[in-house]
Amino acid sequence: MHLKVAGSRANRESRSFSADEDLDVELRRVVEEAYDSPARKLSGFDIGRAYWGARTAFPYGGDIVDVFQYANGRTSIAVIDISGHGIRSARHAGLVRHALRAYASQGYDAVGSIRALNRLCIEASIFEDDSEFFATAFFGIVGADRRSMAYASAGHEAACLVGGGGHRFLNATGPILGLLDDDLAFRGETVALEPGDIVAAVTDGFTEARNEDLEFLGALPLATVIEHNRVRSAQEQAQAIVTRAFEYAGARLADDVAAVVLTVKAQERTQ
Amino acid sequence: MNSTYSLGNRLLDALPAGDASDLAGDLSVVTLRAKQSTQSAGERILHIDFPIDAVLSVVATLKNGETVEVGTVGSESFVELEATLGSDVASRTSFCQVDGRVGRMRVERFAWRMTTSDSFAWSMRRNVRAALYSSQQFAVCNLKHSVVQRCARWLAMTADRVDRPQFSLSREFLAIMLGAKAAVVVEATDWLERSGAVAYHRSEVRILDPGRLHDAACECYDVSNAAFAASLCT
Repeated sequence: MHLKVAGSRANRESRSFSADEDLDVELRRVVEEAYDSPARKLSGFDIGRAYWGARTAFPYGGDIVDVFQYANGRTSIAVIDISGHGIRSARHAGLVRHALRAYASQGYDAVGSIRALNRLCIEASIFEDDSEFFATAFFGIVGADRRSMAYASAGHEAACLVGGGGHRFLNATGPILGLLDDDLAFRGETVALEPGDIVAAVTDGFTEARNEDLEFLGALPLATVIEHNRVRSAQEQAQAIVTRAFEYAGARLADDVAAVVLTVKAQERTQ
Repeated sequence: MNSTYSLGNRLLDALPAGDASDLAGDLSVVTLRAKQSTQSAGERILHIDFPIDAVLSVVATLKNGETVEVGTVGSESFVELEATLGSDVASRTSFCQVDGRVGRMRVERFAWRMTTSDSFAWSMRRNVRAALYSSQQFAVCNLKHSVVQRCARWLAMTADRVDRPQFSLSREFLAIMLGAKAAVVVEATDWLERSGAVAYHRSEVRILDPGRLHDAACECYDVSNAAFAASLCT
């Protein structure tokens, strides 16, 4: 779901991408696959994701969400917001997404993965002579028994756990990625999970959506949307989140909004 | 590669002859790269860094993960200021903002000098007073001055500290340090470019007209410079 290409601005921007046409096509394919194809069904979870691109010519930017299940039964949920927009940001988003998968696959915990990713962002900035590679990221790893989630949040403010007792925001546990080379700046947290609990996370296009009085939407409506839509599927909840931002800001929605929802199902009975 | 300190930090270079004569033995010159952490908040202070041509940032991280600069330190001062107050644990994180060298002194040697040399301690405390005064001035600045003024002040101060008109400093980084939205900082630096004060090429900024940049900056630039200049007078 994204805003359509429109008008002369789009044509101008399209021309500027023409030198990288092959890369552009490939990136579109990769990013569209990440958002427009149905979320993969994973045993024990209901997963939804949605995206609203605020840009026109290249509708996907540095916002990306990812849910991945590892051979050891752990499942990760990631929301990443790369600074900037366009092809460059989308390329970095792909790098970050797969780096997190790789770190977790190697057995790193959530905070270890975020620390490793922070170093990679800095090293990539130096190697590619690109000092603007900054990102925020929420990264959670749900244990194979689905009873807990360890997470680390690098400057990413809006993740929320909604359960039977209400909601709880999962605050940042460190600064943004790529800013400073300091493992100790990042720490991890762990939350208990129950069947029916919902983890939802968005990028700052949601919290920073502004209404006609230029007031920010903020993080609280994320919990409200989930609580009002608890009986619906995770995909419907994710779409309700991005719709909330667009309804609030309308044409003033200046940044992409990405949302991911992960609902913990009750344990399946084993025969 | 580390080497022995000779000259470069204005605070150290202004010390009385008695203090300066045996300083080299306590200082090694360390080259830092941008983003390299020099101190983590909450951790034991191991060394004091006196920038030569590096620029260091002292930052505060909020609950939402937002990281904002609370101090920029160049050759006019040093990091960790709180060591002068006897603190052995850092309250803030520090890191290198612009590549360069620092004169590094072990905190034990710094503490020894603070207790055995009145003139050394007096110089350090005067410098801390200037840093405190500047910090208060910047608190007012953040409340009262526009992003254009703050950007201009920040760029002018960084150019002074690296002592060259061109340096690497992305607008995204500047936005983080100022605690402002990236889009707002891009508008501000675009305005400074149109005025002819600076030119940006990717992440490199070049000061084209220091006078115009000074005019665009708020009064806090002069206030802070005057405070540190006064602290260096013997």
